[in-house]
Amino acid sequence: MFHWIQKHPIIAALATYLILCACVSTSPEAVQQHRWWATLGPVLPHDSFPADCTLCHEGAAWNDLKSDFAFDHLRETGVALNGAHEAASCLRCHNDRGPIEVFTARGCAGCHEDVHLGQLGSNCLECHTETNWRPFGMFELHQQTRFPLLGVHAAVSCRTCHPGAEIGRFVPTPIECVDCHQGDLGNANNPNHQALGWTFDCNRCHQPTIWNAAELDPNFPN
Amino acid sequence: MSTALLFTGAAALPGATALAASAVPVQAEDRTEEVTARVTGYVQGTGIVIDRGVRDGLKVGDRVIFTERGGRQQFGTILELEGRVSTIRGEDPQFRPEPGTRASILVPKSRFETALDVRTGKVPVPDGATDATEALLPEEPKAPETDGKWTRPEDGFTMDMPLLAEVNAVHPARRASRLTGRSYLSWDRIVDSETERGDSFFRLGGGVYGENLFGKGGVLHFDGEVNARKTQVPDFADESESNFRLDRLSYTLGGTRHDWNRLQVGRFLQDGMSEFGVLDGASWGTRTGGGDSFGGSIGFLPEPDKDQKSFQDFQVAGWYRWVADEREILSVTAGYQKTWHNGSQDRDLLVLKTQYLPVEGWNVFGSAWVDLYSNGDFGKTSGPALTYMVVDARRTFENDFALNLDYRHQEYPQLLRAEFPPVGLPQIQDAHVDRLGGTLSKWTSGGAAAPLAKRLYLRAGGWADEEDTGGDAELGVDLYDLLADDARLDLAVFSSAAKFSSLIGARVRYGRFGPKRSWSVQYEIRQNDVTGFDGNADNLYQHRARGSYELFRASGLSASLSGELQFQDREEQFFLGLFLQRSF
Repeated sequence: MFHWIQKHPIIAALATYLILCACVSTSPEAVQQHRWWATLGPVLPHDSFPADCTLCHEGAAWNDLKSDFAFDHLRETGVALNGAHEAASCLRCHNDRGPIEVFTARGCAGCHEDVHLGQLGSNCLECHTETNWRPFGMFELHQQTRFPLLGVHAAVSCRTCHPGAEIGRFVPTPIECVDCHQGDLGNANNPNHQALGWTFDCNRCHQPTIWNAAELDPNFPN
Repeated sequence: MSTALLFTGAAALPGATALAASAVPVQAEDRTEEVTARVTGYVQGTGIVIDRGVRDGLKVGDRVIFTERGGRQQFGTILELEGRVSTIRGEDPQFRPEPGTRASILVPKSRFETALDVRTGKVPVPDGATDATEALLPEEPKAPETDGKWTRPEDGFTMDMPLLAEVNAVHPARRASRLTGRSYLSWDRIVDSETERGDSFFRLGGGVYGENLFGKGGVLHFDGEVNARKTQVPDFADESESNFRLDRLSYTLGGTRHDWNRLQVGRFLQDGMSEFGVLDGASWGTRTGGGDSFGGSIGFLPEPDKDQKSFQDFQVAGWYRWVADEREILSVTAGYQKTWHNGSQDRDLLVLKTQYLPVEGWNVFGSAWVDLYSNGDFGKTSGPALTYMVVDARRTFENDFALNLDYRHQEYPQLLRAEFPPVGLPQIQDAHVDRLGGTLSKWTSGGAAAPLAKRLYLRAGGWADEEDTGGDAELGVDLYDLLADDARLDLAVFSSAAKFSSLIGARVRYGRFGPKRSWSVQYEIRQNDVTGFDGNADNLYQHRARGSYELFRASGLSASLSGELQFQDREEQFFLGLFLQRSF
């Protein structure tokens, strides 16, 4: 165990921090009753609403809102509804699955499935917009990895390197040239790369700027 | 319609209770009582719901007359009963009465002669019969013995409170059916000038949540996409492929405040522990009174790629989620998954994750994947090994500083399953990468001296793998409301020491980002130095110019158009993208 801590000091430090968080978070006075359970009525407590129900509801169907119902979420609650959230129906967030305060605290993951299986962390807005959830800034994000998108690598579809990209799976992704270019290596017959043993260090001859041709290294084959 | 006809159904019902047996069918109006009711809703697959039930003298099989606003009458028969609610099947299957539609039921007066005894809360039972209503009616609080004085405690009501504040929760099974979701269309085109290579990508897909479609309060979830791709390379035949991908098709019951048990079947992402992936099978979960939850799942794991072939990888899994209190500010989840690939034992995976989410202070998310290897796993030492680890920590300070820290650890697990592109044994044995990064930002509101609001940030990170080390940094400023409302100017300089190259660059972006539409233009230049290449072209300048326009409507319509030009020393690539989405 001690050896493992020596080998992974960062992990050990983070684990220690989490344990400390756990110790300070169980103060009994911090417990707060949520107004959510079935015995307390609607998922949205109506206590502070106006007495005239018809301001919001159709006269005879109290589960339906009026067609011209409008609610300024920011003004009334202090929480802004950005992007597509503005057009979402109330019950998408305020529902029977849990208190809204808990889901809000979890951020995006409170309501949205984590299709990345937790492998990309919890900050969804680093890559997605709130309007249509399209990913953006992938080129910039690659600069924070070992593999910035250099040359034509920025001009291929994501799934060329990430086979699971369309379902949100991005890791692990091998980054050695041959991991993606195995087929190109097999087809390189002029000269025959495999016969000559040229299966590593592709960047000695090839620039990542064009698809096919190699730029000869002046030092080659030294 | 004679009253004689109205009760034949009740009398003939085979499951009539003992109490029903005591109610003699009546053939004269003076021996009946009219019970009036209102329609409260219609539940697809179940029937019409009215606001009268057992307590009002109704029984299964009673005929119901509905009177619509125009005076037209429709008929139905009571199928199910509760204390104050009945479900009715209309004779006309197309009949969908509006909530509030009047209804009436003629019932024998004899039923009211056996009305509830207000002192005991029970129905008097004839000799030889069992107390049938006792099972049907929820227990009511008994009226206290008083001497006529008001004894109920004050409940805090004041005159400024609405009288109807405390209403009952509507069970999902009593709600109207509802469909929500989205559909989208995406088209992207990439053209390379040097090679005249062209790629086109087309996606048409959508997702739908159907709530209470079958009258049980469940949720049907569908998500799918048609995906087509075409590649044109001069002197070669065009390549094209298309496929349909089924991402989700599942039905969920429960998991609500009315029913803590949650059952889900079909193809779905595992709810209790998403780290275990998409499943073709079933999962069950529940929660305890203290807020903890636990569950398990069984089924097949589709392959994590565009085809999602299934039935090769069988899994069983279980998880437990502990929460510190009802607010769930601190939670710790542990789960275990065991898989078999084509019948051979494959993976023993232990996942631990935690969230710490106080309103103030550090917010922490952490997840660790530990594979348990045995002697049969070549390339790995027997015992536990950390495969992935993700930790994010964020804090906003009172002086408008914010600090984000993130840590990632990644190795290749030894698997029979096709979880990632094939790699060699040395990579399975040794390859790993650790990255520690952080962003420090400072927000400054506009003032008299400096009218523009701005955000300054410094992002930096370092990585280490089995061979090399490197890192990256970016320094930037975002200036808000420059030249126009909702406008923003972003300026940044950045540098990176990567695995096969190092680079330095700068980026400028200006745009307006309003709630209904946004547009932006961006230019970036960077100088790349290709590691290990000493030729003339080892220094590569890469330019990117990009423009985008997006439109949003409150109706849920979203449209996006983008174009991008990237050019290097000898060639250019041009990108064009279109995206349309409609949420409903």
